[in-house]
Amino acid sequence: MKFRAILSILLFAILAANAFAGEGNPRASRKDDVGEQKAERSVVVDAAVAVSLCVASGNIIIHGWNRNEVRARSADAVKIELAHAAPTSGASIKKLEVAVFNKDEAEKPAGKCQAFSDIELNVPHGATVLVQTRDGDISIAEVAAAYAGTQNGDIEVQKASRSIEVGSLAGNVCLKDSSGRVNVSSAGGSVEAANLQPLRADDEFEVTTTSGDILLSHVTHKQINTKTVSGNLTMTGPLVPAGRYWFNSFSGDVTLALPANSSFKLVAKVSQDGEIITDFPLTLTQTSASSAAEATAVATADPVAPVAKSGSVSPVTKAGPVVRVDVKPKIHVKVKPEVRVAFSMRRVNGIHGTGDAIISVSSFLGTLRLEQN
Amino acid sequence: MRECLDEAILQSYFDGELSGQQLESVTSHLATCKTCAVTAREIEAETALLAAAFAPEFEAAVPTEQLRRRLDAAIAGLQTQRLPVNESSTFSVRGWLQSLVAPLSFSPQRAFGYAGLVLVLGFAAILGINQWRATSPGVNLASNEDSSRITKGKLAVAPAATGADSQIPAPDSSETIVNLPARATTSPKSAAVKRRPIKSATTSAENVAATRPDDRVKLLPGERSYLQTIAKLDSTIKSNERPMRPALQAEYQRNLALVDRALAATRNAAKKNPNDPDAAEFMMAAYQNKVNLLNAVAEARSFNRQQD
Repeated sequence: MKFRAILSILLFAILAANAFAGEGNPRASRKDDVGEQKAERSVVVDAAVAVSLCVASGNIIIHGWNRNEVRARSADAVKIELAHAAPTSGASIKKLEVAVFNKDEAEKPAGKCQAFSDIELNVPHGATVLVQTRDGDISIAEVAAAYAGTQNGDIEVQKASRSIEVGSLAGNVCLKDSSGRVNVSSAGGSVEAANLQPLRADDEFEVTTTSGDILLSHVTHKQINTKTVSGNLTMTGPLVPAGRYWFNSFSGDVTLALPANSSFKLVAKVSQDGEIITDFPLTLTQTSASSAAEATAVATADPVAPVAKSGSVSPVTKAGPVVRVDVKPKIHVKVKPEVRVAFSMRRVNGIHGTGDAIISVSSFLGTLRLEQN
Repeated sequence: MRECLDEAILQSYFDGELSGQQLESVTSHLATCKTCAVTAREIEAETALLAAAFAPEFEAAVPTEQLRRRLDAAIAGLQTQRLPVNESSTFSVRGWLQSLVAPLSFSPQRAFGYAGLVLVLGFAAILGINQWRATSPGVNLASNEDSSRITKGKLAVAPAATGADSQIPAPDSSETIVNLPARATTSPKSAAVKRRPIKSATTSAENVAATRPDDRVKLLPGERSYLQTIAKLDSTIKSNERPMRPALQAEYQRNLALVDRALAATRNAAKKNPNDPDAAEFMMAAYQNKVNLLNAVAEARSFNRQQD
């Protein structure tokens, strides 16, 4: 009797365990299914197609390829749609919108820019891409034109052939090996640009940040315009003949590391407290300050030696041909900027070589350094 | 690797309860920690869901039941305090006249008694006067305490009005105190009406300060258009009723502080060097920086609103 009871209890326990296991299995497999799922869509398009994509969060990777086809893939999204207007007979798709659907929104389309998924796109090399995200990183390579915006993520653009326009609030921006017009804005993120060149003669390079640093290396646009409030501005590489350079900063330092044979005119505007330190032997054409005496350039035996008559400009000769000019402020108040008592603007104009390029530097509290590479 | 953030901290992050430094710390952590970013995303979704669900409740400016009960109790308390006064009004006139006449019926014992009482009262009066003279600062202090208590009561209702107390006719403090429960029991609309004079007093104080010759701000050439643009952008940013996302808020506040500092310094320089175009240029550049920043934030808010 007892044996029967024990047997029946055991049987009941086994059945119950099976029942629980049976209930649990589908859930697990569903999860696995979802985890392994990869949404992928592709469509044949025009070689110069414009592709747009907008997601709330998630990283976006876009890569140009040699096919006239757009392919979108995501391991997170449950569905991808490639929306486009119906092309007329014989024509190819010139505009394409990539819509991404979240896992929990398979049945209904997510609102605009609501997806939370990483996505990867392949587009033709001649494509223009317009991407926007809130928190994710954006990486774009080998396309014709890149327009990208993010709030917190980083943006990286490589090998864009025609134009780049990107904006970020907190994320960093990195541009490499590209050509064409460039426009970058960032609030707190830094901007780094290396090996960029213009496609056309009038292509401009413009970068604006609030607190982010700006670092330019071998940017050969004829017009370079950089502005920041508190970030540091650094440029390395050769100057373009007849190039026009603007560097505007409030409290950040401006450092230009140029080849020794650079030829440029310098127009520097600094506050009375501002300091200009140069490795280049500058011939000063004008220094002025509201309270300082007017300085005039005086030719000497050494045509490149800096000569200044202003009491506030004192040349410091270093060993060899390199001459250092320290523009020392007359009044140095060692207190916080907002309570400084004496502000006075100072303009220093100088020339090195034949003065092919024009460098305009405005720095309110920062230091200008002209360094020889 | 740093430890993951506590869920309570993340919740505070989305509730906008963190200080500026904490806000930045959490934001930077979220940028580098994938696990926390996923958790944050879940909390954000939950918060948004709850906010949407409770939106009608939050929007209705109706006092809660608990508050209503407390107010009812307070009113009941006031009525019970008045009760003894009401009871004393039920005495008869006749009894009162009798009580007045009774002490005037003289007898020799009573005459001595009254004389003694007059002497005692006389001494007591002299002592009292001397005591009052000696302790008169204490009396003043007490009166000050009374007035400060009233002022505190007034402050609790309208803290902004303190700066201009000397120039603005102060609202009747007794009205403020007595009406407080009654005001609270009325509808929010009537409460708003009651508060209006205090609010207008504050506004007039600001106006007085603004029109004071010393404080009047002289605009430098070219500033007006920038200020108008900034005001428009600012109102655009604030027109979005939803709270700013914490990460955006942290970035906005940090950079806005920088821009404002730059603006103040360059403006000061431009003001002190009115004939220097470079000084004015620095100031304009600072204004442009602010416009750029506000534009970026307004765009970001607009983008975020699409997602809400």
